[in-house]
Amino acid sequence: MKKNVLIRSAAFLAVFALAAAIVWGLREHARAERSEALADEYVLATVSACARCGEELAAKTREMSLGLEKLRVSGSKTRRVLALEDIVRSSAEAVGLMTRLPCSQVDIMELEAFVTRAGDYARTLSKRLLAGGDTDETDEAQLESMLSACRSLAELAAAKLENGSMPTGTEDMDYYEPTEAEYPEMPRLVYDGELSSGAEDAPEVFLGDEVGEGEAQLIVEKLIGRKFTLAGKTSGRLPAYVFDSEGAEALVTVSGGRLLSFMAEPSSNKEGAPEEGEYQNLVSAAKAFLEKAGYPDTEPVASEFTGGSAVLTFVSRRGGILIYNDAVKVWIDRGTGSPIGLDAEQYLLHGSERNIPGAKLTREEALELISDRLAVKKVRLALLPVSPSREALCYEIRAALEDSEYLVYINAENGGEELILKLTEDGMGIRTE
Amino acid sequence: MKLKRIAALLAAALLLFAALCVSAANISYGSRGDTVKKIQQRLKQWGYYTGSVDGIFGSGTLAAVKSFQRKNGLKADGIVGKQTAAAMGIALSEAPAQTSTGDVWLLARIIYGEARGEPYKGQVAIAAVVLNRVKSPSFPNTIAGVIYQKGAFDAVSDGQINLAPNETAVRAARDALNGWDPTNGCLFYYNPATATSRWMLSRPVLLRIGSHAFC
Repeated sequence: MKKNVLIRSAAFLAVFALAAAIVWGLREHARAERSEALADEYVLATVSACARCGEELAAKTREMSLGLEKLRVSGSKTRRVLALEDIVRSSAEAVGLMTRLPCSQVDIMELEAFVTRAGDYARTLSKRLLAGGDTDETDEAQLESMLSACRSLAELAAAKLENGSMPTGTEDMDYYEPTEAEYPEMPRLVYDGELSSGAEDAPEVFLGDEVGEGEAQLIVEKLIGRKFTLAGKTSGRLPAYVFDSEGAEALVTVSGGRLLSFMAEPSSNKEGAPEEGEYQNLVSAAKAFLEKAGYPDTEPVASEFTGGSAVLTFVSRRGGILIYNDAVKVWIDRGTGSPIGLDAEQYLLHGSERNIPGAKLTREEALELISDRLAVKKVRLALLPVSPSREALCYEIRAALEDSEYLVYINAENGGEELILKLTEDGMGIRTE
Repeated sequence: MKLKRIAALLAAALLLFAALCVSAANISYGSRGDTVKKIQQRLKQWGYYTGSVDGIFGSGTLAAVKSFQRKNGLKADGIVGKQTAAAMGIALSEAPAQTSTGDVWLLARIIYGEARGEPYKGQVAIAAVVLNRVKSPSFPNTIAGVIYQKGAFDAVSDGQINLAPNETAVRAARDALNGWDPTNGCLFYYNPATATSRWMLSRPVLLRIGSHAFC
């Protein structure tokens, strides 16, 4: 009886195991087929996406040429602004498409720089026309060279479409690899903008007499209160000596011997916004350090609290006016309350003496110019950077609409609305966007 | 009585089959299948595993997993559970998909993929190079655009961008976003011991941090 049950059970299990093996085999077979179909689908999707990129890039370079041609023949300012805005839009879309091409970044660097600058330049001219200005002979010459380069690019892209040499994304193709025969020479575009070709030629900043390594070392050791050793020297607009210490690094400018940056490890992992008392202590410690390092008369404008440190951004304040270009950041260790970092690059690049004109508009006149939907909370004067070479004295108006707060900048000379920033609280501080 | 026994056996067998059909949450010694292959591929890419990618979790794979776990601060038990899988960028059947939390997280992932084990300053420098590129007209104008540009970063090509970053990488990302640029404006970096690009090697080196040269 027992034997019979065992035999039957064994037979049943054998049949069951066979059935299970068949089910498993069928599942695996179906899975393999699905994987193969999926792989084919991926290849097709990638090739299609790249082909679309190539087609659209050809269209965008053509649109940029067309915009520049229309600009040449436009008689009215309105029409010229519209043509320039078309170039801005086409340039931005072309740059977006270029980032999706399966090309090495090195191959398309020059092309991307030109297309980006063309859009940036068009935006600069558009703003100038809207503010009542006009283009000059230098602009006209640059626009001509831009048109010539855009035409060549459009022809090159169209030729690649015609002869089928499109990138597929599944293999390396030198779609835009520069060859002397077919790659147009990109013109230099110099204008008042951050991306201008001229920005690359910006000279070194003079901050004072040149200091030697030994003097720079004394400066950094006195300011930070620990021993450092020279680790090297950097170049750029602010050449600096690099000093190392255990767990810390500091840079001192060669010109003038100013503390350019400093960074050390925080001792705590404290997170989250501080209570008012702790915040005031952090600000006091940062201000004392800034004054010692040669950055006096500053006011905190932003803060972030994360990773055991508080990052406080200060800008200089002269005659009651905030100067946003003269910004310096200080990191304070929330465990010890001591400074553990500084970044003064922006301050040192911009922080020269200025002749700030008086405001032509009164506070009340400026408030009349903002949207009546906004509830005003605070008003103060600020010197706002509106281009790399131009600052505008503005009323900075902090105002609220529903649950959101904004900073609205009204030009104190002509009443223009220069900028609107939205203030966003993200749990670690308030940031602008 | 006989029927009861058969029913019990059948129920046990069905339970066993169901257990076999549902992929186990953990992958360990003796496991087989596509997930094991993925694990072996990742470990081979990163130099932990030298055996064949056969989908069989044998002693070679076990040693490689333990080595990976030790290097990444995980419990070196040789079992690929949720944490180890997440660190490898592999989704187990029950593992949640990786979620992005913005620029800080993406920067931290590229730092961890490119420069874990480097000095802290070197990790901030990697993020600073990404941010310097965002500001340059010659590169895409977003962090994601720069990081995912073809051929720009090895960590994207070999999948290490998908590793979960540690706290140090996240802090380094924040420091870079807050303005610390130890490279003073550099747009490129390479490891002189492994770089092969003649174009890159021809650029003047402005500084060296850890095993990277910045230019």
